[in-house]
Formats: sequence, structure tokens, C-alpha cells
Amino acid sequence: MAKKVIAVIKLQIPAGKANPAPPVGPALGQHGVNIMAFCKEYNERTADQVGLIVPVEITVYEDRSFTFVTKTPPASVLLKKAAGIETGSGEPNKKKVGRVTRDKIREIAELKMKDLNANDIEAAMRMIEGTARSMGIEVVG
Amino acid sequence: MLYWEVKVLTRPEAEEAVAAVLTEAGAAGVAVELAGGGEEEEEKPDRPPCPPGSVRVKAYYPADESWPDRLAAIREKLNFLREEIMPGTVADLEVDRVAEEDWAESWKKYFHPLKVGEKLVVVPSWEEYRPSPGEVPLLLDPGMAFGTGTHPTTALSLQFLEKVIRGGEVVLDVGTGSGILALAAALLGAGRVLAVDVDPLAVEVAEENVRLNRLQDRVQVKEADFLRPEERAKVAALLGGERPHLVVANILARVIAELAWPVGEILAPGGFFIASGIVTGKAEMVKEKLTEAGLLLEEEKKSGEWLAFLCRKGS
Repeated sequence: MAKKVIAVIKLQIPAGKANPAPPVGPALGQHGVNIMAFCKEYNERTADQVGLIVPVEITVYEDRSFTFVTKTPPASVLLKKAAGIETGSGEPNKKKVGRVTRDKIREIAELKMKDLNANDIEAAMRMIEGTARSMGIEVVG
Repeated sequence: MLYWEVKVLTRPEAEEAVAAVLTEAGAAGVAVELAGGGEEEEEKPDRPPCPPGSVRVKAYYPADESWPDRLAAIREKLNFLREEIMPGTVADLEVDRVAEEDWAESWKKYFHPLKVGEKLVVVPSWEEYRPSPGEVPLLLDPGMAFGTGTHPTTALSLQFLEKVIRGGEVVLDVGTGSGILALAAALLGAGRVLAVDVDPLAVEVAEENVRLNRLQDRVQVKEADFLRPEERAKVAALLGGERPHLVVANILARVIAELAWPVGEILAPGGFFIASGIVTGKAEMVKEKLTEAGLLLEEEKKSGEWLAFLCRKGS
């Protein structure tokens, strides 16, 4: 398998429910990826995680064949769970809807470290904390 | 149905935060285009979708009456992110209208019957194709394994197969991917083909393509790593002690170099080795290994930056 990559695409989509509607269709279609083959395989691999968002990173080769690997859950999902909330704030600059401790931020950063483009745990924590604040979740402690 | 596509160019450190903003606004999911390549590849994308060191986060929303409010909310949150939380990381958003299309089908427009040599024509299974006299159609649906026929390394291998196969040979395809080379060998007249791959998914895809071409009686696909001595013994056993007259491998220069010895060993005297997937910069290194293994270079073909070698073992 000679491999030359033309695109790397990440998708944050619900486990077991991939279908050709956006974002999957437009994101993969423009690269000529066999969308039905992707959806079938993704749904099979994530069938036991239905109800969760399972991100996936798809590598598209020059001949439009592809492979993918699944990734750790999005920071926003882990933060909402940690803060015990269903949704983030509609006005994160004014209205705070929950709080998480710095220890929790570190825990999430450690869990997601392998998937984040971060050189060290502090950089990873800044990414997670930034995500928390953009959702109206305060970081305390 | 119409969608609004929101695109935000950002530095990777703000990717999760931007994704959170777009998801919270009610998108069914987000897509992130990366500038860099994957983990194990030798080559990086040659047409990166965004500037180095950044990613583009995209989300889609129905174009209905809720859109103006939604857009205003997204804008406000991105401003907050940009100005107060992670300065200098997030560019302004871009918005495009996207018409609904039949995404389950529209990717197929990239694939049409493709004549890759004198005889072989790779045909997607959904296309009606009437071969001209002398043409050999090979049915193949692109998917999760390399080898759709459109890559130069595949085309060069197919051309060498056409040249070498006379009929009745025992063939070994190492790193079969989609199975395209094994199928071509059988369609061109090889008596028996064993195709192996280290990736179980490739084995599954290749088996499907064998069935599509109704070649189950002549093409066998197995999971095996030909670089490992114990698995080589397994491959030899699957061949029933027969030495292949032809080995074909379309992989990468580094792997071809490693394959030289074991291929030299297993080939029947006078047998051929078709080696492809070699970037021009590594050609000399590969040639040296092939020669050391007693495989003499008979011909080389080039397409773009890729080379394929046809070698022969002394008899």
C-alpha cells in the first residue's frame, strides 16, 4: 500500500449514527471518499457507544481510498459532564452556567493529551480551560 | 434543502473551543480540516486545505428562520473567545450557502472506468461497462484499502503485470490493499494467486472484491506479515510448497527494501518481482537491496515522482 495523503479530516459526530447528511457528506464528499463505506464502518465500530460523540480522524490517500481512527471525546462533552450541565451558556461572557475545578481540567487534559496538539500538560490544560470559559463554565481552585 | 456552512480558521490550540461553540449552536457535528498529515505516513498532503499551523473547523446549519439568531450567537461567542480567552488564535468566521446534494452518491463522480494498461480497465461496480475486444474489465469499488487504480504506483504495477503474465503462474501479492493487483493477475491468466496484507480490514475489502469479480476459485486472501519469518512460513504453507513465479508488492520504498531478501528466497528460479511505491529519491537504496538479494533489475517505469521496478531472479 503506497500511501500518499491528500487530506486529513476530523469529525465530531454521534456514535453509531453517521449518515451522509452534514457534516459527513460535504466534508468527505469533496475528497471522493466512499461515504457509505465510511458510515457503515464507523457505525459498526462505535455501535456500543451510542449516545456519545465519538470523534474520528480520517486519512484520505491520493487514490481516494481512506482509513480512520477514533479519538477521545470532545473537550466540551467532558466539561459538560464534569460540570453536571446539559448545555453551555448562551452568553458565556455574561452568564456562567457551571464550574469545574482545576484538578478536573488537568484530568480532562491528561485524558485528551494524546489527541491534542500540545507540547506539555500545561498547554493542554490551557486548551481545555479556554474551551470551558467559551462555554460559560468557570474554572475554580 | 439549503444549509449554511460556517468555517472558522483557527490555531490548533483553540480547535476544541471553536468546535464547542459550533456544536452548542446546534450543529449535528463538526468537521475539522487539518493542514498536517496523519501519523504513520511518509508523505504529507501536497495540497493542504489551510495554512500550516492552523486548522479549519466547519459546521452546517439548516437555512431556516432560526439562522439569523444562530449566526449572531456564534459570532458573539467567537468574539468572546478571540478577544478575551485565547487572543490571536481564531480568525473571523466565513459563511457559505451549501445546497443539499445526494452525498451518498455524489462522491462517485470521481470514479469512472479507467484504462490502466493495454488490456486492463478498472470499472466501479455501479458503472455499466461494455469492454472492447481485448479489454479485461476489473470490477472494484473504492473504499477502506489502498488501490483504486488511480494512483500511479498501482497503474505502474498493473502495466508490469500485463507484460509478465503469460498464463498459469503462481502469484504472491504482498500488501494487497484492495486486492487490485491480485485480481488483475488472475484476470490476466495467472493460475493461482495468494494475496496477503497485515491489515485485517484490507483483507476483508480484498475478499469482497474477489467475490465481486467471481475469482474465489483462483484468488485467496489472508492476513499475514511477510516481513516476519514465522509468518513467511505460513505463507509458504498456504502456497502448498509451490514457489511463486511472480511476486508483486506495491508498498513503500522502505518496505520494498526489507522485502528484497525474503522475496528473493521464496521466488522460483527465473521468477519475477514487481516492486512499486518507490519514490525517486529512494530508488538507489532499493536497487542496492534488490541486487544483494539476487534480484536483477530488468526494467523500470516512472510516473511522476514514483518508480516501479521489474526484477528477475537468476535461474
